[in-house]
Amino acid sequence: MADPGITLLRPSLFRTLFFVALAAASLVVIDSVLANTERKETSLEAARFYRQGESLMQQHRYSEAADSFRSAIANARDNPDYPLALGQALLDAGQLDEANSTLADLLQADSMAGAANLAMARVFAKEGQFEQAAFYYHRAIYGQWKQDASANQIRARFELADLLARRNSKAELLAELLPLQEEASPDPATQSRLARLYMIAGSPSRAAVIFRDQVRANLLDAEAHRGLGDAEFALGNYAAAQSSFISASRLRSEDQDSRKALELTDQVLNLDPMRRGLAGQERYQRSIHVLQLVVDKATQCMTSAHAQPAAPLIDSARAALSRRVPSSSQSEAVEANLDLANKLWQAEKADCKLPADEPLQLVLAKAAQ
Amino acid sequence: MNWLDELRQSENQLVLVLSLVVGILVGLVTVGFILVTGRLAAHMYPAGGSGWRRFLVPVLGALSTGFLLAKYFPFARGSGIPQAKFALIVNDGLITFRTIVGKLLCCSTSLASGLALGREGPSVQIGAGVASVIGRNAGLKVEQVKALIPVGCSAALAAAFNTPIAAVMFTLEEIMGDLHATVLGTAVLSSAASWMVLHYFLGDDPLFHVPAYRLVHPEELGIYAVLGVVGGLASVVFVKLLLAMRARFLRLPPSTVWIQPVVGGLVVGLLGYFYPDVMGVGYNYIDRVLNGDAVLKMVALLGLLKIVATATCYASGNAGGIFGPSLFIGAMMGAATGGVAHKFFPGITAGPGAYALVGMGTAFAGIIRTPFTSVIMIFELTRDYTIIVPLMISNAIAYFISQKLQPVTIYDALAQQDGIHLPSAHAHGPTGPGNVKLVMRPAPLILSAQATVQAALQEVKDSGLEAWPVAAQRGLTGMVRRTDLANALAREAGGLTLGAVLDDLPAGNSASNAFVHLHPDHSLHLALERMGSSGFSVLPVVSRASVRQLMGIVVLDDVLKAYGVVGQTAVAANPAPATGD
Repeated sequence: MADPGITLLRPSLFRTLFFVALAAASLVVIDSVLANTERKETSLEAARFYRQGESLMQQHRYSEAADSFRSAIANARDNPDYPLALGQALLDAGQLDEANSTLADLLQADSMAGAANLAMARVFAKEGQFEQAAFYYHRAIYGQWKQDASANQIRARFELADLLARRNSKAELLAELLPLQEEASPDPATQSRLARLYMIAGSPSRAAVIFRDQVRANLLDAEAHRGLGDAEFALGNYAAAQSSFISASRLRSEDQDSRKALELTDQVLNLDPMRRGLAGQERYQRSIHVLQLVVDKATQCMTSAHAQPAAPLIDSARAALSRRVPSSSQSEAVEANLDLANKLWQAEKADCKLPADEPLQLVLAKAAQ
Repeated sequence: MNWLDELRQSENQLVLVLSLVVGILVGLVTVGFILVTGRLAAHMYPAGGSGWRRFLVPVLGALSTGFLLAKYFPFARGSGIPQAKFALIVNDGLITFRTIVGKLLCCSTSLASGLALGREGPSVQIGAGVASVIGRNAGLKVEQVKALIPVGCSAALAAAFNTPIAAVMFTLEEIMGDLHATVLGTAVLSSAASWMVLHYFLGDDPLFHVPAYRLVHPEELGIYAVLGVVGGLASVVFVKLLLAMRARFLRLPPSTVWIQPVVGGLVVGLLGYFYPDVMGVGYNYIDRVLNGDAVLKMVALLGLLKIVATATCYASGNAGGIFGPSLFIGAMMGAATGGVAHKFFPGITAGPGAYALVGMGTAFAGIIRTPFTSVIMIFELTRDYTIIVPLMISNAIAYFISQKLQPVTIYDALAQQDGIHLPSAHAHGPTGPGNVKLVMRPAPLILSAQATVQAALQEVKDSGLEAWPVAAQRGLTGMVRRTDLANALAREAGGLTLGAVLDDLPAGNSASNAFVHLHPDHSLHLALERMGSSGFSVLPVVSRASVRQLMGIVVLDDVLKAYGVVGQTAVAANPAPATGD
């Protein structure tokens, strides 16, 4: 009796396997051709949607642009430019959750993609999550960029610096500005932006250096004069500030801000007993004026709670104001008056708030240094 | 040729090799099917094409495929899953090469033209067909050919849906109806082979790209339970609508079969003109909704329109499946439910996308009624595990509701409308001492439906049985009992034909396929159950291929003898009948 297994393998099996192999080979060819055609066409279609999206972005039609980018992604999922563009469109359209999710997927595939990290940082910045934003800004700064890496990294660091400036995080801001100063382009706009950020970071001396270089490079640069004025003013160099503001106002007569800054500087200089070049008598008169202003403030706004402990100081001040000081002792009297004014000012500070740019405040601050 | 010699040593090894061959070939065919459909669709709907195409192309697509289906490929109509089951269970694993070609040609055209049907069911029939053709041509025995059918089904679904595990699960759960089926190993092998072919040509992309959803709050499970109810009810509406429409189409004259699909094309064309997202299988739109791009009113409307469009397309006889549309309906219902929930309970609920994801599985469990497959499939489609628990809860509820309101599954109901009775899980219940085949005997007397009651009484005068089959030109129409004949005579209706008498009997309606019957593979336990519930001590045994084809009868005494109990037992008169399978 024949083995049932052998009956299975009649010549028909060989023939069938031959035809199956033939069919499989034909199908491989057909499928390859079709798959390639499909890939090419979908890739072209995706590129068309991408261009359409970019055009809509330029017209600020962000939601429609997002739809176009979605269509581009549906046609070519392996192109990271499309989800990146979608993330940016969603961010601009204010759809932050969706933008976050889109970019997160992108970053899952490549966590060090510079552009994706930058976009994600912007999403978090817009959401008000500053620590997360700073984290992604750093990844963007140290991440990989397809092209123009250096410029993009500087751009990312400037954005981070702007964020820190808005948050008034001075130490972190200064830490970003120091490397930025080395990397940033020497063009006036960039340098001016950098110097402004130094001002916010509480380093007017570095800002002054940059502005001074700019003024030196171009004496007609009103913006640089104005910046230098601000820096000098912050450093307490009111005379130098005055000179810069005058130059700025002259170069750009319509600049109201420079004019206001100049007026304030003038007020400070007119009040300041320590200003260079003043005669002894004038210096003494100014110290008396400053002391009188402080006493007036105290009587105007000090509450009883603070007035009680400050009473001896007020009495001393009034005594100093009524005292006749001979010319020979006026120099010592100036110092004593300013010292007394400062002590009294410290005592009344809790009750008598003054704007930071109030000339009296500025003069007292400078005298205390 | 050493390997061939080795093959001769073991049939199992041969089946294993053929499973691999089937897997690869089915993978290649399915990838080709997907790509050809895509290319055709791109030509039918070029970018920037005008709106009238959306009306005209589905109509023309349905017209051309309707003609081809009626004239050349009658077995390529519909989904393909009932057909694959029919081939496996009834037809000795036979699916012809012609049917495969017809299915490929007609489905590619109809799906590309925008008809609201899916590619997965047809792929299953194509896969089963490829397996059948290879098995038969390789000279395998019938049982071995039949063993290759689920292998082809599994391979096809793995490639069509990009879900290799769910493909195996579906094959076991729906095609085989048995999660412990012995074909598990070969089904896994073919599924993996086919999936690799898919990945080689089309890359490693899941069908849907879903953000990582999670359960926001434990109370959210309540909303998912509500989604289960909504999904279950929507599933029942869809299934009942489809079956009712199909029953109406089946009653139309056979000469109109070629033009009937146009009705589906017209409905899709009209709906698609105003709402383009109703057209086709809609996976791109599902993807958008899954990513949260869902406007509440629009998703609810699209869900309802898809139910109408798919039911009409399928019922009118177009070639295409209901897998994909089920997912679309579920995603839209889910997004709508999620949208409402998120509006009222924003703090404890996820966005509509998460509900769309769960909704897909829910509708699948409710419509296709394969709950395990549904969970695994959603996991594979989305590769997102975190939503599994809500999905399971929602699925279970939808499955329960669907089972209660629509006891027969959609594929079995579709087959029954064609006169084919496929075995259900119920039929696989307790077996007793054996199956019906053991006690089946040839019918000694078959009465004519045209015979009068008086003539019939004369004929059965000497018969020892209590009931006899009645047949008309189209085949078996029911069973009539001696008491039914006597009652008719007592009512002075002796001149009535048996056909008319059967019309009046609760358990034997000759106008439908619903008379009580058995199949040879049914258990004796089920035979006793049906005799008890119908009040018949004699039941007809009919072919699974056609309920009109009488194979023999089963007599209560014979069943009792098989159980070891001898003698006649009284059977309750006229209780509620059970005709199902």
